[in-house]
Amino acid sequence: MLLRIACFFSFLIPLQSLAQEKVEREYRVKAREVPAEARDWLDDSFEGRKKVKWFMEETSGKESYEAKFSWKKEAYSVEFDLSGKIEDIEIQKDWEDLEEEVRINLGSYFDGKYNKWRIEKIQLQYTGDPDDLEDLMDEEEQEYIQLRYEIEYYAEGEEGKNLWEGLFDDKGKLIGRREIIIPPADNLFF
Amino acid sequence: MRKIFWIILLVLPIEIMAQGRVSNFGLFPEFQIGFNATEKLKVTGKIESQHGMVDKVENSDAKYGYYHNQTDFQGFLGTSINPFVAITGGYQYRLESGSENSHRSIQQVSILQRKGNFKIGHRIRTDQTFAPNDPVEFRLRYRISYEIPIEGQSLDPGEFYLVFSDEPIYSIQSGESGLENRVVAALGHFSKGKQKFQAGIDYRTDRFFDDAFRQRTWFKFGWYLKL
Repeated sequence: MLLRIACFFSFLIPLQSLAQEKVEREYRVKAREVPAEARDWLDDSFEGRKKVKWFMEETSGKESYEAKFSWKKEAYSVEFDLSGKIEDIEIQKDWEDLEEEVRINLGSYFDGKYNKWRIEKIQLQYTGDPDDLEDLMDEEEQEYIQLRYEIEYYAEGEEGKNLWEGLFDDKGKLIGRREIIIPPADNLFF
Repeated sequence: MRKIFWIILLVLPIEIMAQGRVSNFGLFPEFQIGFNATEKLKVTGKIESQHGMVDKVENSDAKYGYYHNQTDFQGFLGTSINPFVAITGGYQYRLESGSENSHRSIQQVSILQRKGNFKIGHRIRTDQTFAPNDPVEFRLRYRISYEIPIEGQSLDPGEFYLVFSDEPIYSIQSGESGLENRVVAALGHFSKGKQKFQAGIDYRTDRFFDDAFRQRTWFKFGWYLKL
């Protein structure tokens, strides 16, 4: 009996080689591994912030450092390239926090395209030069700053029932979207 | 990381073996493979096998020695209602040492929740077991599982995670009810975006209300593959 079971398991092992390569990964790194330029920029722009968690993010071959922390009761995520230059700032928001015009435009898009939809997560995404982004954080100056909304949403419509990540401009108009595939979780159900 | 693994592997079973009325410890390998047969239809196959190593009855010496307890062959067909909810039906054939082999029909609803960094899995399952010379046994089960990434804010390929689950099971056979509880704590690795490896402790308790209260502890290790 034991031999039969062992043979069955060993027969299936070559199937492992059918698995595909990863495309996205995020893992913790120590603050001292992050370029000083990134740490200094964060210190100058977010005075009084709470403890920062640093991550290395690999997306489709591109690597970047990401700092996650709370500041003024909001969740921040700041991304830097490998030299330590800031790439963008993301702030998590609720639907009610968005300007009315943006909410109306987003609502029109969702109502027009889907029968049913639900917002899962909203992030404001600010991009610009390092100095301009610093002014945005400590002086709330929005000049030369590009604002976009990264929105994760569940929707039911002609394309089926899917989870999406949409990128919208500062008025709430769609720029692009991609389907989110939830990694396999069969180990939780069988 | 290594400390957590050794705590799960060594300390927990020793603690468990030290108490209770009827106890055992053994190995519990499992293998699972799933793929989408069509856009709507998902097929899952699973083999799990229990191999006893130690048995102990209270106030007597532990008996050491290998024995095959049971091996289950399972097949499931399921469909997703949306990315978070699936309904599934399945069949199991059990090879059981010392008893007649049995057949089981299985029905389940599974719900996936994403809460911050971790995932929560809810599984509501009913099953019916058919064995020669025994009345049909009906069971109602609910399992809640937490999958927690260790290395980042989400579980990405190449990273480790922890899994904790609890499953109370109500059974009825010829008008006689039973209760069982299953707790699992395991360390896992998500590899190449398609497969997971897990190793940990599966701790099962039953016969709560009679003299032969039983606790079974398995070192469970599995390979879960999605094609």
